[in-house]
Amino acid sequence: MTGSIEAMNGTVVGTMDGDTADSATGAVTPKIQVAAAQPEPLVELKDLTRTFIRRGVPFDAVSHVNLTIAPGEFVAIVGRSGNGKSTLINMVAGLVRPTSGSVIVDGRNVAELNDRELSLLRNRAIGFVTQSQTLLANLNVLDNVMLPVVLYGALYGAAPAESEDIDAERAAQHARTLLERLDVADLADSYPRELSGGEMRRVSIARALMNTPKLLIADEPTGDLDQTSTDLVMRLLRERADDGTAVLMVTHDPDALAWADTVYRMDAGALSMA
Amino acid sequence: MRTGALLAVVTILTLAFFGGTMLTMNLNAGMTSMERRLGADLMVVPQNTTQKAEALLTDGSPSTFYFTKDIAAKVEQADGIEQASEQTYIASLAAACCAEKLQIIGYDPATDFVIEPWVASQFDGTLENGQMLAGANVNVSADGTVELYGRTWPVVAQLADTGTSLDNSVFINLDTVPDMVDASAKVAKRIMPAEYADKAVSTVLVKVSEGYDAQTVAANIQRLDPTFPELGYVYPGGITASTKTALNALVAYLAVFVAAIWVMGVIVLLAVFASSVNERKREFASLRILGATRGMLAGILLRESALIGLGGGILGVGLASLAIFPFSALIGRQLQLPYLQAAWSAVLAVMALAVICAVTIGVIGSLSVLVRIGRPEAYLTLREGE
Repeated sequence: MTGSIEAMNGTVVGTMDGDTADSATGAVTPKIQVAAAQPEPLVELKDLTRTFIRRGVPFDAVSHVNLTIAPGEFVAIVGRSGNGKSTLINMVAGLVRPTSGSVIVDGRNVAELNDRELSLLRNRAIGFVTQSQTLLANLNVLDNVMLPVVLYGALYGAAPAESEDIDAERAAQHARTLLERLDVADLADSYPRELSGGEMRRVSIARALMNTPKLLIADEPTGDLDQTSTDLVMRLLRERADDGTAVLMVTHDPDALAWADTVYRMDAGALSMA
Repeated sequence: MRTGALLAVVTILTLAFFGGTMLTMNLNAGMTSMERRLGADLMVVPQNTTQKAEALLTDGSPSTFYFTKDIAAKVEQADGIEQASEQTYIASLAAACCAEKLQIIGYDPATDFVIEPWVASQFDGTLENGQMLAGANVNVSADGTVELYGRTWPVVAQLADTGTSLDNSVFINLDTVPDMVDASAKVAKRIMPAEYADKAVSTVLVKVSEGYDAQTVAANIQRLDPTFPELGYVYPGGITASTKTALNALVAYLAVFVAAIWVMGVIVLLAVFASSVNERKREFASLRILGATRGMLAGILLRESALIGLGGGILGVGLASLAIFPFSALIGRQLQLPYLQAAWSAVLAVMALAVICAVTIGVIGSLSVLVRIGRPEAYLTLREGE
């Protein structure tokens, strides 16, 4: 479990019309060397900066961040709302483009990938649990969980099946197993509108794990959960990390932090050890 | 809910487009047909019957009027007449064959230049005494006869639809007119005095010689006898022109109506799409996060909007067809204009065009969403959707 972080002043490019990003500080954070770098990190952020303009004033939502995450490493990031945590993890997933710096995931520079390559990387290598509810209202829970498989028509990470029916059956079985692990198997035929916030959160986690990703990104995965469900979810994430999945989690939940290998703090776009 | 609203808008648009276009086409077809049937330049009719004669040419009710053959013969002597042919008009009582009164038209196959060219495509024989040609709306029994005034009349041919009152007419030769008058006397009120039965003429149809116009020939006729200025003079070309004016006005109203519906419909369509943008942004951002490419999302959106367009288009065409085709005759009567169902090939072409337009408008309506989801930064799109 290793990682390194670095933050510096940033340049200004790009716009943002929301009001959720951090304000620029201009503060310089000294480089902190936590441990020796892994030879083949799964995630490598180099001098990563994202600048937005709010009411005509540019600011760095993420400012010169350096971070490496090795396979099997469980990294948590804490920090106040609006300090750039979500922007950072969305850049890792290729959902937001950096203003400068680079994001390398599974050996591939995200900025150099075309839309199809990036989408495929997101589908096959990354599982993403978003902060907001992103289940599709017109699909039931099982179909929502199976969606990452359905998008590209095959169960990724499994041996090729003899027919599509078998593949679909295996995918459904895998989805049900995940739902059971998260204690929501009885909701497989329900629709998102019938679920509580906590249940939707657990279904989203099951969906993110569906393609057995190398990197699991989770934005407040325990936000809507009670203590029992929090323990259930964190135990599953820990197991995944122990099985070799890199986990990058943003959280405010002190209980969740205890499950992580490394905890960083994000403050005004700069990343530092907590 | 959103799909239902979009489907309803596209259905209304297609209904207006297809319905309006069909009405316009059918009116134009009726007009063309009427022009083709009115082969005479001038009709000379008894005094005070001008309106009846005009109504008979367009879409009026059947009527009986006549003068005598000697007047007709004298009229035909006028200078500037190339061809002249006599016709006799008799309005029947309600006949067993038909929902309404029939117009019985006696014509002279030997001199006729109006009916025969039209009839030729369906009947190339000679209309013998006692035989009939039936208009398109006349119900001819399975054995090829029509019962009229208690007698059964053999029908040798049924004529094509014209969209005018001629469709509710039967045609007999002039020698059969006295038989018809006798028959009427046996079962009902005599339709004309017996002494007139073999010498009644309702109109002299005139085709003017080259170099003459219809008004000049009418003036020539009036000079033949001091009583002739009292006769009625009908200029079918003028009727065509006035009908055309009415028709053009109606077509213009229709075009404005259809255009207004389309403008409103497109605005509503865009509004419905715009109002669904946030919902869709969230949905599409979710799919992007799961690894869907922009091409996949565009495909989903285009397929969905094209399907809505196709469904709405078919529904609109279907609903308009339910109103237009079964009630074609009623529409024609209500409009008081020649109204003739356009050829099926043209109808099918307009149907296809209406559905294509519906699909196109559906796809265009979805473009606003397509542009928004085309943004590379799915996360920001998702934040907007929250």
